[in-house]
Amino acid sequence: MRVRFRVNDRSVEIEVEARRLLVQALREDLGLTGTKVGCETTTCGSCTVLFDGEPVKSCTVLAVQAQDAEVTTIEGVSPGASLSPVQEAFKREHGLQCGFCTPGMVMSVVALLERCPSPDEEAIKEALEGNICRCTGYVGIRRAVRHAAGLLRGESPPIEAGRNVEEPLARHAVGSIDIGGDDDIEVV
Amino acid sequence: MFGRPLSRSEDAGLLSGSARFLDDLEVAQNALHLAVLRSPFAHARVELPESASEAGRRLVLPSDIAHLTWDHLLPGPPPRAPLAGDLARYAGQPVAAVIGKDAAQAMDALEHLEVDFEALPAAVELTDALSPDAPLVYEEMGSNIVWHDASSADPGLFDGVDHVITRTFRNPRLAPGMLECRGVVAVPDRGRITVHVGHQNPHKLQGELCSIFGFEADQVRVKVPEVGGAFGAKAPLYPEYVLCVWAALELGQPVKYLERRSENLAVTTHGRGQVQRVRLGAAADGTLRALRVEIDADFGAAADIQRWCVVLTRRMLSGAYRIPRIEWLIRGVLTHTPPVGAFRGAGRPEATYLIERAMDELARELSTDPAELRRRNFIPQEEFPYDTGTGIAYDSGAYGTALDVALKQIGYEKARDSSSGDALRGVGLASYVEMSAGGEEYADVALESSGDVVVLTGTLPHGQGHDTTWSQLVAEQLGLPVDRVRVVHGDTAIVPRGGGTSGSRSAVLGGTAVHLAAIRVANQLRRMAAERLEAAPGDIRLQDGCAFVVGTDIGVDLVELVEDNGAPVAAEEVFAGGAQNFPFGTHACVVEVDVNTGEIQVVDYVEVDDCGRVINPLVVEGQLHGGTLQGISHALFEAVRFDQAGQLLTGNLTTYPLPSIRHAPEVRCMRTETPSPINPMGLKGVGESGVTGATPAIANAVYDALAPLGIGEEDLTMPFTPDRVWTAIRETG
Repeated sequence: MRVRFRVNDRSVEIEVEARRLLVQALREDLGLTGTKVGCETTTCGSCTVLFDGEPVKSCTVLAVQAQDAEVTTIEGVSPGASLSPVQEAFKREHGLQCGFCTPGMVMSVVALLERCPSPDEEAIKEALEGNICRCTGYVGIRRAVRHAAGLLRGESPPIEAGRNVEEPLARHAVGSIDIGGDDDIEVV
Repeated sequence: MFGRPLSRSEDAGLLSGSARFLDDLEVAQNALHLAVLRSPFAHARVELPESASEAGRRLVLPSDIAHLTWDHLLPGPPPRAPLAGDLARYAGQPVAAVIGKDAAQAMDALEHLEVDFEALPAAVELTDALSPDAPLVYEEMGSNIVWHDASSADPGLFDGVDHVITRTFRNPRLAPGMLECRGVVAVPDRGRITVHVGHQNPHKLQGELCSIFGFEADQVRVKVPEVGGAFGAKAPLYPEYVLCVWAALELGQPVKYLERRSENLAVTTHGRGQVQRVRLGAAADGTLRALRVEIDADFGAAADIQRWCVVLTRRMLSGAYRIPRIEWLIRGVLTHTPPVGAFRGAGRPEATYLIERAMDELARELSTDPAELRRRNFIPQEEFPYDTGTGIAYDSGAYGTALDVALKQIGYEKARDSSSGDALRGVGLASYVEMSAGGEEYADVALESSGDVVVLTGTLPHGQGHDTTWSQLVAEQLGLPVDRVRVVHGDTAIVPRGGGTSGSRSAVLGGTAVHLAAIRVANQLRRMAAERLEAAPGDIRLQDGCAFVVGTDIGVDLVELVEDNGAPVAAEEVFAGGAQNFPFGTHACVVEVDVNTGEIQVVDYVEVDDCGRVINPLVVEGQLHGGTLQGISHALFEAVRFDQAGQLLTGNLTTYPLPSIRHAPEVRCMRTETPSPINPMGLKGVGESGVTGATPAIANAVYDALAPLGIGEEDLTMPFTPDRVWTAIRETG
């Protein structure tokens, strides 16, 4: 079957089997490998894209359902070299580690902040509970959402990474350490 | 740059979707697909068809690959081969494989395979496997007990000890649940093979494949792209890797295996799975006198990895405490389930759970405050290095400080104040000691004529931010901006040797190797500049890409020195770090149990962790956050479950729930810094600390909350899911 739709502001037309999933079409037919596949039960959210502005799990949408739709993938979030405010916030707040859940997570955050510029805790939970992350414990992600919301509202400029990270409370000295070898020049 | 919480250079590619994981590689997208037929039974005789090939599809049978075994790599129960042969020993074990032009064709072909299975009785639970007439996983072993680690046993161990508690603790089997399932693409090229694989230790895999296939090292290249999480389970040698390499060589085309989530939750190695019988004795004043443990560890159908994990459990039995006498009897038990492996912590969280739960139970017995009991028994700072009597010596620790801060931050005195009849509050502590891997690691640091530095490292990140962190170390020594440093890892054709990333080894071993190599390069540059500027090397400072004579503005660009050299200014280092080091800390939390629904809220969570000196605190904190949520989830939500026939009941993410943001409490992380004396920067590992402290902290809080109802381990064990809590409340009510 032929299906024609728009992806990241570009018109595309592809030939697919009826059973082909949208995520397969995006990754394999259109070469947009940023969107990931992490499960078979619509649970993990790694495949999240925007479909006519709504975050959807593209593993549970058939490619043919995208006829005439506007699809945005992670590749469409920041055309060009620089990062969008949401992506910048994720970077500064260490909202990603292995990065596999990240494209899907970013799409959900983009959608959230578009409809709700000042989300409270419950709104954030509801928007993101369909995106599983196994690395971050979600602390960096929550910080990133708040930071991105601030940026998008035009408030404070990008903040130095790690401002939430505390200094150690106590430092204990343990003697001096001999590294041996023939290079004795003191290190600055 | 040392100690700076820099954001990560890795992030741009990951955030924009341009970074490539295994199935994003072009070679993966165009490869043939290997699909695996797995035994549906936990124990079965297998009869396979004789013929191997149909048009467009290729069947892989044991007879094709009878020569591909790895018994010689590991001692213990044979055989080790990619396919089960005529006897399957766990549900999910590969019995045959099919190669198709794409996933759909390969999977369709699997369904048409005519394979006969004759189900046999299976030993699924530890109790089944240990019973006298248990079905044996390997008949030739004569028993399902394949690992035995025992100290001497003194029947009078507890004689004259005023208070002794006896408890049984259970650590359920867990799935690592990394977001990216396993995948591999084998690409043949005229007698050589390149293996693209999401892996923690490419040099290990290279060695294994050379050994199995009879290759020379330069015939096998292992290349690791971005890895979407591993947690210990992307280190083993899996049968699918061997099958793909064989198939690629046989067919002369790239062959890919991409695990489905249902396969991932079944056969990507689970962790934990111990039953622990514990006796802990103390004097009347609460001073610990003796500990005896008997542990049965579920190995699944192979001992290969778990036997290392249980050694680590034994080594860490002492926890943070001075325990004069410790005895143990640890048995590794085979069951008709998939082989158990190393999962973040790999045996140490189990030991921490054991001792931290026992301390709380002892405190209850003595009517002593659990915090006070801990403080009384902490190993004092002046006793380090401390020999625990379990085969290990701790390097450094300041356990009391971490505890005191955690107690204050959690509001320990008033933590239970809001407890009501329907919403029971409990507070839980865990003062853990972790062990981070010893060994050695390789690095090469080279300043090139472009002014860039190329770092080769034998470690290999799967989310831990090594590129940024190692760049900070190099920038610190060479006085260059971090963005002039490029870190290369994960390619056996470029990096000559390495130990990969696991066991919290990377900063201590890999980072130190990078640090020392960078110092050597810096010293070379100082000597070269000194000669050129007619100064003493000790008077040369490296800053902003130049070498200056201290106190003057006389200097020379580093790039010029490289040009003079006619080659990059480079140094190699193998840092033999030797012994393990011991991160530690205290986690404290408050939980609230709704007695009507069994639901548990984590009301507050505080942790004070100490991993010595820290190169990038932002990265370190991320490791703690992630590990802590895993540990919380292990207590509250997760467990691998099988039915009586050995069928996996938790085979997808709805039955094996990974916590979402809704289940993630806000965790407050604080640090102390007690350097390790055994490496030059004073580093300790941190990757596995969070998960180690969190599970017993939550468990202690839950049992504390339920203590008024008389609920203990005999009534309720992990995971504390609402249905299990609700049932325990009703049944003891």
